[in-house]
Amino acid sequence: MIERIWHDWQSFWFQPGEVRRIIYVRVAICLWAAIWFGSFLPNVGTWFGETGILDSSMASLMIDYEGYARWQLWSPLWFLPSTGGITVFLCTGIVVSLIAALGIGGRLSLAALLLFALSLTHRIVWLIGLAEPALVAFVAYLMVEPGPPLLSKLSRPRTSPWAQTTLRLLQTHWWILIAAGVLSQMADLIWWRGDAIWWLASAQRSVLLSPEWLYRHPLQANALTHGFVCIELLTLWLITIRSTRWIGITLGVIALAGIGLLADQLLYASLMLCPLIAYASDLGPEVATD
Amino acid sequence: MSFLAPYQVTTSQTYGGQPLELTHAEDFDFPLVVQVRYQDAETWESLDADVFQLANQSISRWPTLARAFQIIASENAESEMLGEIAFRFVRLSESQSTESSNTKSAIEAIRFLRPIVPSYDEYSASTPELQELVGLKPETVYEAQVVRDEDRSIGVIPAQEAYRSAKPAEDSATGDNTDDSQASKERSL
Repeated sequence: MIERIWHDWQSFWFQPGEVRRIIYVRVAICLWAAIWFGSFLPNVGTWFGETGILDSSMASLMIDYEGYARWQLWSPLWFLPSTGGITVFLCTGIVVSLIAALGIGGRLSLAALLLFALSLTHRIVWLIGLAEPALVAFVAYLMVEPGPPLLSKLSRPRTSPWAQTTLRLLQTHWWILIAAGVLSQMADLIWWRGDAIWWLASAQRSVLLSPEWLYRHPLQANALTHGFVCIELLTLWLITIRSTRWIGITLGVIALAGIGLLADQLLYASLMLCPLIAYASDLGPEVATD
Repeated sequence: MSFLAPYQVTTSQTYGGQPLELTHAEDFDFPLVVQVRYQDAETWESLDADVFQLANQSISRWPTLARAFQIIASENAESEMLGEIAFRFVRLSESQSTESSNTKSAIEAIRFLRPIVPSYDEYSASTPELQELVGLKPETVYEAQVVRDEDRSIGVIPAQEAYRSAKPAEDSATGDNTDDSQASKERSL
């Protein structure tokens, strides 16, 4: 019994696999990071400039309010209070993301991307949402096995147990995040009662839905709310079974479209699409354990 | 493990990041509206989106921050954080007005409003009169007067008594200024 559990554990995390499976998920996550850095550019002065809302003194106040030591939220951006300095940092972050996407430098470029992502996450303090912690974790997982450079995709196949570990880390983190979200939804009465979608629209937090339309179509509001939760639950179930994984991936895309379009969490939803590539990559021919 | 504390808040909910469940229909879920009143004007108006594209947009990052400030306001009415953020809104708005040669007069007051978010049943009260009748009206979370010195430095003084932070008895012991007007946060524009 113990031997079987140990074998399954080893097989789940460390079964040798083709490292080229990492390429697509790495490219997706790194391209997303480039978009994330770029998303700050249009309002960089408004947020972080000398007269911005979150200038360095306001950010320091927030950190003090939280009670964290300043060194814990280290960032070179504390020494770049000007709009120009932060703009240069963001542009450099985009370049580093693209280099990491290409696979040039392997773990080194991913480590640089991780440092840039952490630096910005620490500087924006309370502006961090759902996406930033997930991004930091995903980049760290890619450092376990970054895969070959994009341009050498047609090179000789190579297997490694760490390729499986990287994919499993991405898959597991994704699954836990979706599960945590759906469990939190089910802990709240409005998701059982069927009016959560109404509240999103009523609070003007959904560009796609208008309260006028939902008011005239209450059944649709109810169906969207319950359908949203059901699709998330089905995704979590079906994606874990190899024979139904494609259905689970498809439902996962639909669930993330809901998060992105119904609740306007587009950045988070698009980042969460990336680990679905890790699930899809896992559907290739299995490599026999040595 | 305390040094790992910043990394243990994986869902960013400590100070009001968007919750994983997307909404609880709590008051905190609804982004604050920032309104200002210009000198020689009697009505409040939302910050001009052309000049100021940050607030009053549900898809910007403002709702995340606004949620945090609502939580702070509910936990500690004397927190100076709201005054600090209000000061920066005024400063930014006026600096952008100057850059764009906007002819609007100076800002006299600023407030953060929790907008009306009606339930399905309340939504039938669609006119302002009906909304007033059923008790639906925006709630002022924070309001402050803007004061100016001759050297163009600005400051904000909380209009609501609960948000004023001056404590004469305690401050006199340390030799600090005790007047409310002195307690306003003055900065050079």
